[in-house]
Amino acid sequence: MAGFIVIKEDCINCKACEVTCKIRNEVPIGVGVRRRQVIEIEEGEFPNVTKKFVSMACMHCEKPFCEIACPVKAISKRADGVVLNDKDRCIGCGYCGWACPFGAPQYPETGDFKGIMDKCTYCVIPFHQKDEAGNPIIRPAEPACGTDCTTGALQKQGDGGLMKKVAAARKM
Amino acid sequence: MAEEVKSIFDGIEVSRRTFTKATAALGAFVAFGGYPTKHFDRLIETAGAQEEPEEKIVHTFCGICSANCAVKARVKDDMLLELSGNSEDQISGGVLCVKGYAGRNLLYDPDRLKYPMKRTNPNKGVGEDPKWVRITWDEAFELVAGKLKEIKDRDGPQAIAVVSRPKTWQKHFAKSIGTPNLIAHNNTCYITHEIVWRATVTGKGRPWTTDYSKSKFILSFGWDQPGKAKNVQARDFIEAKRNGAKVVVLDPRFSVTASKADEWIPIKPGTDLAFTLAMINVIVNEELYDKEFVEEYTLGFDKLDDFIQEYTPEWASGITDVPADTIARVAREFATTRPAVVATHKRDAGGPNYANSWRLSHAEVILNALVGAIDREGGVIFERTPKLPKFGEYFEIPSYPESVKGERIDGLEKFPILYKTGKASFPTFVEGVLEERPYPIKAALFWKYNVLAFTYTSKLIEALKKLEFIAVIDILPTEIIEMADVILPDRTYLEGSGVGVRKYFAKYPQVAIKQPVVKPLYETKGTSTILIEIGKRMGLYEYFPEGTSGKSWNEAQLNALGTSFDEMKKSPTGIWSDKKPFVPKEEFGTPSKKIELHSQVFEENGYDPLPAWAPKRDLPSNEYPYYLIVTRKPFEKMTQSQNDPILREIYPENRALMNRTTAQSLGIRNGEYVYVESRAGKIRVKAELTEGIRPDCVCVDHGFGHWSKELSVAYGVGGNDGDLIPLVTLDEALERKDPSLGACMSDVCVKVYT
Repeated sequence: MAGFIVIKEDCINCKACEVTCKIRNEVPIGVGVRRRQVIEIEEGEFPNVTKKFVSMACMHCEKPFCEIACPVKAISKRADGVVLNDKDRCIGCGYCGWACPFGAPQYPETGDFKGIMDKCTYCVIPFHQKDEAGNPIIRPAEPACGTDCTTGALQKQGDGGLMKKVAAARKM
Repeated sequence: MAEEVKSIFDGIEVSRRTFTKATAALGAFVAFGGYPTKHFDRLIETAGAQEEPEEKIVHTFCGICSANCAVKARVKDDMLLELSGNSEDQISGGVLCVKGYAGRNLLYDPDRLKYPMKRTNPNKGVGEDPKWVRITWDEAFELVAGKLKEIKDRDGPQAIAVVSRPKTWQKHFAKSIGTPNLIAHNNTCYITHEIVWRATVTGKGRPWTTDYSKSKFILSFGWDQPGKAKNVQARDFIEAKRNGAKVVVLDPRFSVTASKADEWIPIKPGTDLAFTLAMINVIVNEELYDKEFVEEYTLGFDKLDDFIQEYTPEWASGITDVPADTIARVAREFATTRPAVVATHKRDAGGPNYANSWRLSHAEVILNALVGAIDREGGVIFERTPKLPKFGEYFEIPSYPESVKGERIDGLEKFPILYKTGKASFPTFVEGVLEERPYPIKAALFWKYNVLAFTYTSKLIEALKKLEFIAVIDILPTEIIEMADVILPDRTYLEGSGVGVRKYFAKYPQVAIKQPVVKPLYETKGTSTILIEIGKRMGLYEYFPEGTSGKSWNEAQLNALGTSFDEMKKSPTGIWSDKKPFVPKEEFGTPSKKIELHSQVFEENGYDPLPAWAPKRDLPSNEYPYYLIVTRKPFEKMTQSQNDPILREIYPENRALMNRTTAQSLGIRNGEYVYVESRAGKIRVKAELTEGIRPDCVCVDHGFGHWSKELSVAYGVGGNDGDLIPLVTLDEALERKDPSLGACMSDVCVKVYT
């Protein structure tokens, strides 16, 4: 099923996932959309400090709240688990943004798709969902961030081998 | 005929195919506010392609940093779609770092230098419009070669400086002219480590391979390669953590590595040497060292034993701000949890940051030797490299003119060990040019060095104004072109060819090739082609005989490995390997063939043979109360990546990291612009407040503060840390008896105000 494994202990906050996401999906610069973002969480007081880094994007939830919240049924979950938004249907109401616990839905501030929701599509659909001829672009469910992460902290779900190895090593 | 152009982006004149694509890409660039983001497939279609083009993978290697990770480029109809790692390569391990993935943006950067140009405004300086006029390559070559020849004949070859990383063709070009002045940035980078390894272990360079994934204890003195996203080292470090390695980090700043560590010790800047000396004291006195390794492979242990007695943990505690029992405990854990390693790379605490950094680097070598971590798995490893032909011998080049051995403008010959490395010094180059010591410099050829790469940039500008002629070979219109007379546009690594021996991780010999992933854009030419042509037109035919070319040199190297460029191109991996098992070295490159803890080479050259304690240079004062620390964000490649719009969206500008309590005492709020000022200069950057830094430190990210208006994304963003760093002077380094001429890159204090 579509989804991501994020091993926060292994994330170095380099943002390679953000870059490969932008390139693969041709998400425009300066419209206020970053489908994936690495979040930094600092806690404690000097010198007892901790920092965690977590790469965040749409989690392709088993039961997506965004899908339930959408009044025009623009959001749907495919059989393979990928949650997609049909930009032709989307009215930009922002309910999905309220419903999502991860803040994944984003709304371009400018450009052709101003106000229309955009989020991670598991690299299935780029920012522009149609090609020049108007045909929908549907690509294999192979997210760039899931294979390109430098340290392997971010993986697409399904590659369970590493997770087991990590768990064994850390006696989790 | 020269044609006047208003902007250097005008008048792209390339083949029709590339032209259509380039303009289509530029169209998309305009439409989406800064970056060609449209689906490249569709661009091809609008360009009128008849049939659906095939997608292919081109094997090459990355040129962003010197790791040269082997890369797989996804290309469709001569358009680069994406870059990814080549899993056959020991360095890349099948992935790239963030900078590597962003490499495509450099290739398609609309600000690129596109054709040769000459200056028509004789007045040079910051903000002065050079009034560029487009010229042909022929005219450009005539101009550069003519001017360099004129100056060489009139003032002598030493009056010409070739300012470039000491790469094969650049070295050959400088020596062919007869100038001793090949000027590079080495003493601002990793030179301390190289000098120490040369004197104590190798007799030549330093090892680059580290085997962290097999380490059980990793000790870092400011080493933060995971936080800088150096691919192989970051991956190996995380792998070590997965395998349960213990990590202790000493760093005034809570680095990414520190955040992964079992223990973070926020040591006082520039005092790591005291900590290491006390560690050695404990390890020696409690006999915790690897006795077999020390006896078999090292020399001078008795002298070390005597030397180290005064450096007790109690003594070090007063200097470092770290309790004595913590120092003793870390020493014991380090020595008894093997394989253990002191991790180093370039600008960690042992890099040329402080006046005592070379001593720290020496102490780090001693620590690694005491736990048997030198050329042993889990430690520091000498890269296994294949035997390749020598450049000069292969091309049957006659010996270079005697003048190449003359006095250098950066005074390097006064540092005998450093001189032998063939490296150079930026700060004393600037000093030399300004003071005309030992002679005036009249012309310079810059290869891909940005003004911002130097410290104390205003001094450099002053120095460059004294020159009669400056030619620049570069990719982007950085600040240096404001001072240039002629611009020769270079190709990016994605358009060039080359042979890359694996160094940053090479447990067995391995070689990758670089080949153009797309047809070179615009009217650019490769570096070797440019230098050979200038050399020939200067009349230096004997040094550039018929058949001398980048291509033939690539071929020669590959032929020596029993392969060829064509064969490598057709290979399913694009990699040549000789997968022989790793056999640890039994002998080293010193006069005694052993690791010389007490260095004869240092002693003979008048330097401390053991790393006696010495403090850093600048200490906090009433006027400048805070230590300066400089680091680099993982997605920045020094001063070369700031024009990348994706990276600027992720991290718009650099900041001054400050302790929250300190900032509050100064009335500084998070995100507010502040001035950071040192005795050299001041910059204006945003303050970022954190608990993860010592209250007496301020940390600035490197690479920002571009003032070239031709850089449409990087222009005016952030501040340049180099403006805060005073030039290290020749006399100062000589008086300090620092064999590395370390540039004291963070050995300065600052004040902060709004």
